Amino acid sequence: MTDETLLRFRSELNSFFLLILLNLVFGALAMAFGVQFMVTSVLGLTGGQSLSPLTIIGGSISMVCFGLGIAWLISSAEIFEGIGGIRTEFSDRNKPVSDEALTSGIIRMVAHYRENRKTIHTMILVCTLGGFCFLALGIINSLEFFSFSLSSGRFTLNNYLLIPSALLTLGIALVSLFSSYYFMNFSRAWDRRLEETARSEEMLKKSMGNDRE
Amino acid sequence: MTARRTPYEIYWEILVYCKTPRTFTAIINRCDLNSKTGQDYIGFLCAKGYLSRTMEGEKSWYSTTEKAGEYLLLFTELYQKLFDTIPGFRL
Repeated sequence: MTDETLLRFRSELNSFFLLILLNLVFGALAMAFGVQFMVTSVLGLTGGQSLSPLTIIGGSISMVCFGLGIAWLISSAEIFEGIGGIRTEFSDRNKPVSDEALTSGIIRMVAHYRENRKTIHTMILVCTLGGFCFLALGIINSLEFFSFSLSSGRFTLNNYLLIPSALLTLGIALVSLFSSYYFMNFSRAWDRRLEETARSEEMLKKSMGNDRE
Repeated sequence: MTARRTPYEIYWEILVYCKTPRTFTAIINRCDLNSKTGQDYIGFLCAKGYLSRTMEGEKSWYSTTEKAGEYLLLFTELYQKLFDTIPGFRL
């Protein structure tokens, strides 16, 4: 049983580690982009640019994105801290893992989830909100450099340099929404495990003839 | 380990660690317990007969008894089953 359990445990640990790592990178990018869009809006205003409704909406959303980026980064770092240590112990595939070491790893992971359950649920919310905000920002940015002429029916691209920025914003939005989906999957599996540990406690209590609360 | 653990998880950790005789200080350091909770847990396990205490000079040594074997086995089975029966998470 240990070999199969170890494989599953290790693979799950690696998947979760990758997800958190991805979130750290994209959380930092989200924060940076939030700042960049805010600065661009402010610089645009000082340069004599008119204050269009699109600029106001874009500026407001970028402020929200900046805030969400910080929350995203902090939550990811909190979760990363605990998972990194557990993963290091199980990263060497050639090193034999005893039954006890595996159970100890499982306990650490269960305890880690128990402690970070709220943070992970916040991540689901932050990633979903962040995803939609960045999607809106990406669309607004795209609208700013595209113009459409009704009479000729032509699309005009005002500035090629804005394309990578808009694509990256849309990329962050997609990663954010995917993260939210994967966090939900992770949380679902671990909530079931927590329920199972509560049931296990009853069995352990019986086996000990335990009356301690 | 500083994360939140249940008493049963802590019992398991103490019992596994004490397969080789250990002192009170070594147990609380390894299992990340404070002196008060350490006394509670160790006292409880001793009362259940899962830990035995031997005196050597001024030092007390705690070691896991055979009686604890059933608990350790059941605990290991139940916790490893968490990864066998519940569909896991994959990217």
